[in-house]
Amino acid sequence: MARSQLIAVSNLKGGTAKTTLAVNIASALAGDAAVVVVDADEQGTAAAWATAGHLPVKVVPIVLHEGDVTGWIEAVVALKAAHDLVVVDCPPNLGAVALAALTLADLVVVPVTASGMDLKATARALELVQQARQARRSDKPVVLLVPSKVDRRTASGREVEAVLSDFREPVAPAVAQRAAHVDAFSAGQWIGDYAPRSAAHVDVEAVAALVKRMLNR
Amino acid sequence: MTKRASLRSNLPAAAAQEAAEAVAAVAAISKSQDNAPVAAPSSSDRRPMTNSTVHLPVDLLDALRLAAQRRASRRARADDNGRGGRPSVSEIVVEMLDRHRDELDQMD
Repeated sequence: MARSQLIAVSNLKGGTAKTTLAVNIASALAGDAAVVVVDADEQGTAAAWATAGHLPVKVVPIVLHEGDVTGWIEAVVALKAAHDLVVVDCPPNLGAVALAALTLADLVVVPVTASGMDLKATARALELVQQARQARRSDKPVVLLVPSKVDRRTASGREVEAVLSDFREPVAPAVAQRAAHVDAFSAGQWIGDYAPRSAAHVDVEAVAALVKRMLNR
Repeated sequence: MTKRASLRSNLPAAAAQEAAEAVAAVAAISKSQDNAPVAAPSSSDRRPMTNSTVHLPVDLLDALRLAAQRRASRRARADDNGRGGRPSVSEIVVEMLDRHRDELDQMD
């Protein structure tokens, strides 16, 4: 079995479908590995998603408690020791949890929507990744930029991949804006169970396959 | 509330080492951020702003104010020094409109 690995799904801005990607990627990879999602966002959306008990992965809320970053890191590392893969749904800010997740992650998945504000937040997130690499004296975490909530009817939606390639980090196939994702959340299911072989499912599987390759799984 | 009890003594050696390295890395990055000079945004970075009076339904304005307060509280909780800033309705309106900018530009 491959060693345990950690994916941080992070962006400093909210509304980029971070939780949607975290839960769906984890679920897509759960077929041949013991996968757990850490809900590190105080909004608790991933944990709420799992409440119905229909997800193929467990979601464990671990939020920062009284600024105790060491406690947060130890709790996540303990979970990692018991699973093949941990997917951390980070809070949408430049706080201590996002930073701690970068220092533990093998791979950072950064969902980016086609907006100027998102691109600015992405540039800042990548600066932070660079700082994490230096502090770890490692080329980790590797980064995967995921064009998210893409609407091909708009000019910005058609150009988002080209814009993201300027960041000189790998860019995943786009995940389109689709109602099925909202409905899957309402049903408490991941997209592969809610709408198998749908366009939304195909989008997620393509990203998950790339994640798997990048983790050498 | 009490702090989480340290798990380190119960972690396997390799995991305890990994946790210790991550804690050290977070400390190193935080230190470099604390020491980094804070540059004022240049006038070219700054987005020109103006004040405006907009006629809004009361329920929407209430929802905006609540969202702004929640955001400021969340930032305060996430900030090591408890600074969350002033609740800003304008910030939320701008963010939501930016998200729908394409729609807005194409609106008849």
